Amino acid sequence: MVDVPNEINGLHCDANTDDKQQPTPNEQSTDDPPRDDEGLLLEYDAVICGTGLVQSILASALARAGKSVLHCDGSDLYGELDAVWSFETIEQLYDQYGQGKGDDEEISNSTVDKDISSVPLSPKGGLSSLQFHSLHTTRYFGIETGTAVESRYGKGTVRSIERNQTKNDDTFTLQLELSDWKLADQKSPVLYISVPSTVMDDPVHLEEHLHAVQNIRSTTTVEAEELMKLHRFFALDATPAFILASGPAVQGMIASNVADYLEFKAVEGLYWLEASQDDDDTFELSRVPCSKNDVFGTKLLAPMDKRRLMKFIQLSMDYATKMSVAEELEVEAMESEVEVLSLNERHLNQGRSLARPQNKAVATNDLQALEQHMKDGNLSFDEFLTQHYKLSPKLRSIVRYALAWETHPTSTSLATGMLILRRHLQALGRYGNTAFLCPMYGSGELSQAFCRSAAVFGATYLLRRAPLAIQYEEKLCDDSSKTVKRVILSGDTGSDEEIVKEKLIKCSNVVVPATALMTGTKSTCRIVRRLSILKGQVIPSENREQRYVVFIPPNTIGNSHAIHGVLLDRSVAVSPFGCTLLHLTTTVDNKYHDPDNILEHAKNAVLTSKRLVNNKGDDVDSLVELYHVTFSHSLAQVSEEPSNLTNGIHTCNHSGHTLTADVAFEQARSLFQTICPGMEFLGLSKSFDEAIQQRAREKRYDDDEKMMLESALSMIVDKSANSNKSAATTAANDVVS
Amino acid sequence: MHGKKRAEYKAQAQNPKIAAALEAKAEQWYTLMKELRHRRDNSNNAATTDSETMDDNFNESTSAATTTLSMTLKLLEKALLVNPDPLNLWNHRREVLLTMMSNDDNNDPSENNKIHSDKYDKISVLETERGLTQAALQRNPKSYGAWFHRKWILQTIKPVVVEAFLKEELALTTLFLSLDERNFHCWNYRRFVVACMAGNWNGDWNVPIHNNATTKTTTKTTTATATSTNKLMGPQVLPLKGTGWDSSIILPETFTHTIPQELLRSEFEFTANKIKDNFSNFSAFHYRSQLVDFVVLSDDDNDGQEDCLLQEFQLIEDAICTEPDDQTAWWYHAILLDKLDGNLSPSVKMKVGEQADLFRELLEDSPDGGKWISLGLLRVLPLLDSETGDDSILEQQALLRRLMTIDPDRMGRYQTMMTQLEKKVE
Repeated sequence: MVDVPNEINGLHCDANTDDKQQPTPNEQSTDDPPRDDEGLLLEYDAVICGTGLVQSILASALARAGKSVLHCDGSDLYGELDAVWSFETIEQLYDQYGQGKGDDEEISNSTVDKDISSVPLSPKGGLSSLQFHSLHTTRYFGIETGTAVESRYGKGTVRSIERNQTKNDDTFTLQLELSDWKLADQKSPVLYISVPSTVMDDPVHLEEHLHAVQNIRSTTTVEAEELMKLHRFFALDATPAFILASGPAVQGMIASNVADYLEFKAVEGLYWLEASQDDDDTFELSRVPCSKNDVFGTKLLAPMDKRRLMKFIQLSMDYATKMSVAEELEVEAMESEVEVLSLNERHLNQGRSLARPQNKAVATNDLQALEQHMKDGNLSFDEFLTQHYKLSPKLRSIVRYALAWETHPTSTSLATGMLILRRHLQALGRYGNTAFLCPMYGSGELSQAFCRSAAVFGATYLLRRAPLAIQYEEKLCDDSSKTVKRVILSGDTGSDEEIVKEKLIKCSNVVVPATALMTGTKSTCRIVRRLSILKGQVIPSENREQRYVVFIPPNTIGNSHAIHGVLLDRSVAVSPFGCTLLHLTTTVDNKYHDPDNILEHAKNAVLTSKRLVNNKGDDVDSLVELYHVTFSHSLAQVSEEPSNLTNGIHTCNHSGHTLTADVAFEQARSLFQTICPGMEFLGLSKSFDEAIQQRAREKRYDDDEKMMLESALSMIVDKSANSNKSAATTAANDVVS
Repeated sequence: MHGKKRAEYKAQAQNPKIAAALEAKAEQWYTLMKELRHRRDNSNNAATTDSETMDDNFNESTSAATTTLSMTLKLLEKALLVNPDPLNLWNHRREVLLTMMSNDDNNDPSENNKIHSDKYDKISVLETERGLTQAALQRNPKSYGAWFHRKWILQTIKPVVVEAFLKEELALTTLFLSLDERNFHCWNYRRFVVACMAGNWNGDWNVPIHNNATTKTTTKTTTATATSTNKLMGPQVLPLKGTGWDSSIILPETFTHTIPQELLRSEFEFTANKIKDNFSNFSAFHYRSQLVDFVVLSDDDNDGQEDCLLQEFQLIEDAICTEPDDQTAWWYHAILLDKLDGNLSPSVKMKVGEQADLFRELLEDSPDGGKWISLGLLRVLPLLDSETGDDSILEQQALLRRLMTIDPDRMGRYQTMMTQLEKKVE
């Protein structure tokens, strides 16, 4: 199924030719289907609203399966809540969705015939629940005694700030030592500046005054300004998303070759923030032990705690291995292809991160007990950890929040806990120290990569065009059978040159974000996110790279849910050198009055926490926040309203308070399976696959070994040719003599 | 590779196109091998005939021979880059190199001005061989032949700037061990390099260490004294004899035959880091067990020695608690205990007592197994106070009976231990 005019014409020329050789289910005739004046088809198999990650993956999967896909987004950039934002975008969005502006829902005033029953959609699509709470750029960082400053005479340090004793007037004298200069006595000259007491209330106030009067600013302020000038070096993720090193996302990207569009780096470590033992107001950051060596090396745990944690992790690992063996056997049975993966091979996959000694047997009794409890469902995850593994409260919360990524203080069921733990453990030991891979250039690359691959397979892309309503047809004979007929597409409001009017698109499937459905009930919780730009590095590391996760368990800083912090920097090309991005995420109750506040606390806790000093004993950088933005959005819970029972309306949801994009892949897969039952999810078309494999083969066998052998043989041939020649000359000489 | 099943990989070989490519490659390899074998046979024959009939054309024939030899070297290089494993190729290469060197030696005395260039030549040979072995090792980091060849060339042609050169070699092993911390070839080579740094070019750790410890209460005095030499590890490569290659010319006189204390310290630290990466590493623990003597003894006072010992015990306990069924830490534990003599200092004795408690707790935690924990406890108990002698003996007997049930394969060993224990009681 090939659709010609779209934004990425050049790309899908290949797709065009290749796909023609391989008839797809929908392609009966080679004639081009009819199109309207914009070049759109008159009818599509699926109209996908919004370019969030779930929709983008689904678009790619549907296009590969031969469906005609129209993918539209009311915004003028890709990604919805999975986008990468620039400062300008954030400002625009802030104006649009700022405090008190997000709630008013506009009912679309469509000019198109409304006689037919229809479901209205919010034109804001996936962004409809977005709300901004605060946006702030720090301009001054304050001047106190000891502050390094820059003046018009060069660099200097504030030596003292003292009240003038001699005079009656209420002024202070600031002594500034100019270190760029040296006097004859090898001392630096000192500048005396008089400042009114009115500005002495606050170091920031003082700096503002000094800047205005003397053009003196602190070095931090000057450096911060320089960093913020590099705005093009920032890629600010609305939702930072990692990929599990082994999981549905990796499988999907390999199967579809979308991985070719993307680059990843391994996340370096997971950290744990807790109040220090002697003081509730100070916090400590320490490494989460998740591999064998982490457990071995950690100073966080006493020897017997180490034993108990390892024992539990090993049980989980055994469980994971057993489950994946079972799954593979099932798949193989379905494919009727018998192949036994040796245990050894599986171990190699796992790496040495958790591998047990070769001679150690699986603890079958423990495994059976676990499975029995999972079957009975009588224990929560937390209860199981307490009763069966005697884990201390601290260990339990590490397992629950940092290893099984729970977010709510009420523990999940044992089965869910074990399922997530299993995913985590199976992704360990593939790359680097953690289970996570981080996309370069921001997580927004993921949704864009899938949109691109969808376009290669013929999907049509329309930005600045939002669907306004879905029209359906009711069959009176059947009780409540409604079927999607058409989508009303908004006109293009963005460009002045050409005004495109609203139009109706015939289709049989519509995918919409649940939040865009006016009928959807809002959930009782909101996801709050705070994006901070920090100067300096948070976790001391030798290579000075920042790719870390920080877990803050519930009730550490007054938070009701766990807080996830993601630290990224220049190493994944999301910030300029010298900056670290801190992205904090938590969930709050809808009624929570001040969601901004809780993440502000979290940020302060991270920044002031006692961190491990690196081996050389270097001091941890002084950290300051240069910029932050806080926003929140909700996840709609789609109830079983009649409108949702309409055949052909499919809702999707943003992944929410999770660390990984794998959830989005699973959601896209299940949506795909309802639309195209029994078809392969994200597979390559056969002709593509063969071409790629062929190329890979040619590459593999045209290797350096071959070149080496050929050059050796050519030497032998040359030599023998030479010796033949010399033999011939000696023979000739003999004849002459 | 990701998601690639072995069957798929095998199926590729069924593909006629790929099979043909592989076959062509095998054919080329075979031709190359035949040529090399031919050359080796020829040179062996030539060696026997040449010595008998040395004629006036000596110089001319040798120059012709050298060109063939250098070509053989080139062919060998290419073959070894394709496959670094065949030992016969490396042997052939060494034969060729030795022949070339002895030819040079024979020629040298007649032309004095050639000495300088000759030196340069040798160094360039050293560099070529280093480059070749490095490339070969990148292809297969566990190639016996390549590692051996690297040692051999280092012994045969000593580098001019020894220290800088050996530091480079040490850095290379660090790189290789960062890729695979359990590559024992590389650990061997590292110890060889350290021995070379002490001036022992046969790689033998048969070196007097500078030792200023006076009295030792915690360690046996037999392990090291100021005067005796410690043979710590066997030679890595047998010294070459009768090669006609003067090995002493380049070695600077100032280079003392003792391993500098800082180097030992940094090596000790290096093993610690590797153990942190993955403590299931016999090579690292083995090296550490040898180094620990030097490091412990290097401390002047007893407190320092004790601290060091206690730290080692802490390391062992961390490893044991993480994975009690991993033998590496237990093995190191046994070695450390063997190094202690009968008179334990109070703090060490306390530590050993704590260990016994920890092991008992671990043993409770693993009702069905705990072979290594039991053995560890058996090692620790005799070191503790003899006042509670009877209890201790009973506990040891219980442990042995437990071991007999959980590990019946070694029944005989445990029975012997039991009889020994009984003898001790009498």
